[in-house]
Amino acid sequence: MTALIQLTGVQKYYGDYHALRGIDLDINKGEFFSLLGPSGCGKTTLLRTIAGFEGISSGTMLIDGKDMKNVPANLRPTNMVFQSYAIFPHLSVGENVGFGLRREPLSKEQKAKAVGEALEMVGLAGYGARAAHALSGGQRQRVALARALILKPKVLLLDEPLSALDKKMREQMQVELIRLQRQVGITFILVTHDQEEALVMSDRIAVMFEGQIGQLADPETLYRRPNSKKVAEFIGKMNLLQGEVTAAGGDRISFDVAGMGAGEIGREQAPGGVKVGRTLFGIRPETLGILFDGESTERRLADAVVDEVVYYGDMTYYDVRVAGVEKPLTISMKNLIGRPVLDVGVRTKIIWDERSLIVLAS
Amino acid sequence: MEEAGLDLGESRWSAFRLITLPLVMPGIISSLLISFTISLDEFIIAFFLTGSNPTMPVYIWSLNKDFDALPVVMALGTILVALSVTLLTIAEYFRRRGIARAGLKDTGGFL
Repeated sequence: MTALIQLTGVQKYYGDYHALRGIDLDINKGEFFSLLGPSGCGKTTLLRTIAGFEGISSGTMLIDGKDMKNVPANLRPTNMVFQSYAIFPHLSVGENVGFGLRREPLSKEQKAKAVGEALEMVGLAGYGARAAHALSGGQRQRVALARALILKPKVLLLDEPLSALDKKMREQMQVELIRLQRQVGITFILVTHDQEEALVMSDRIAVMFEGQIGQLADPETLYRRPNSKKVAEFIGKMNLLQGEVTAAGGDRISFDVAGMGAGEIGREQAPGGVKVGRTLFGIRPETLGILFDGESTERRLADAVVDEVVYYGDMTYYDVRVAGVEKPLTISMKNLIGRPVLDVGVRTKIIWDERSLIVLAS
Repeated sequence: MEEAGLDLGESRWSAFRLITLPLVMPGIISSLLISFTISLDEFIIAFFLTGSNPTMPVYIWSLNKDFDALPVVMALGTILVALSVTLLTIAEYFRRRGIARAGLKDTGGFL
């Protein structure tokens, strides 16, 4: 695959404020790419520089091999779906969708046909004559999508497009966006602060903090092998454990986690690098378990006391205290047949496995 | 909104003409009407301040002193009334059209 968008050392200042602090990024053709981060991390700024609404202070930006330095937004092969959708309220749905075709050398019939096709693609066939301001949130979203896709851009930029929708609608649109992306084969760049959304939809995700990329990886790597405490805590829930790396030679790492025990793990379980000495370890709630009566395990065990129980229906989340571990550990358990929901204060044993332990560079 | 226009390939000027201008047009027209109404209505200040170019009401008032000009005063008065009625009718037409387009219920108006 060839890189469609290449960013090298992109920096952006707003006055004194350093919004983008050196972004190096290659985005491939046909990829569903997400920029994920807390608000104020620069992800929207980055998207707007790609769209051409903001200039960059230094660095280079190539789209399809062409330097975008002096190319204004209207001449770039990118189209954007805005957070507020920016539907033109004085135009009809059809006029909104066909807006981008004004400059195309097409006949009236061709344009009408293209508008009809675009509306059909987003499931709004026959809505062309409606007034744009009389649409629901989900319909506006679809109109905005159709309007951006009708020009067949090389890159579609989506600025938190689902944040204004309710949960059900959002999940439905997520699936539809993925389907649409596969269908049209256009590169999608999605900006979101919703980690779940990014994990569900993306081929690759760049996690951004304070104007820099913290980690760039596919969803699974990002979740299972976060390279820092920040990334680990931003994506999903991560239990943090104090401990020590006692030896790190070759491809094995010897560890000793306070309260849990010592052992050996592979080099790949320290994606952020490793040094001998005190450090932070992480372990995901779903990789821990509780040993219920009548069950047995080959894995490691630790004595624990239930501190908090949160019942979710399909899952129960336990916070348990383990002697020697600073903070309570969160464990998520599937409520399988025959498994009771434990009460607060119950003594139990937790199951853990060093294969799911991650060394987090502090 | 204007950025959306730019993004869809329009230049800065045409994005303004096609999007921003239609959206602010009601504001421009109503401010035009209001300022016209105020200046037409304002007699005292206009009377003291105007020199050789009096406003219409001041001019009509000045003609009042001259009995021969009575037909002119009447004609001008008629024109003023007709103009006001026409303007109001147009304004009401656009108001109703706007409400109908927005799908709202008419709750006021003067006609």
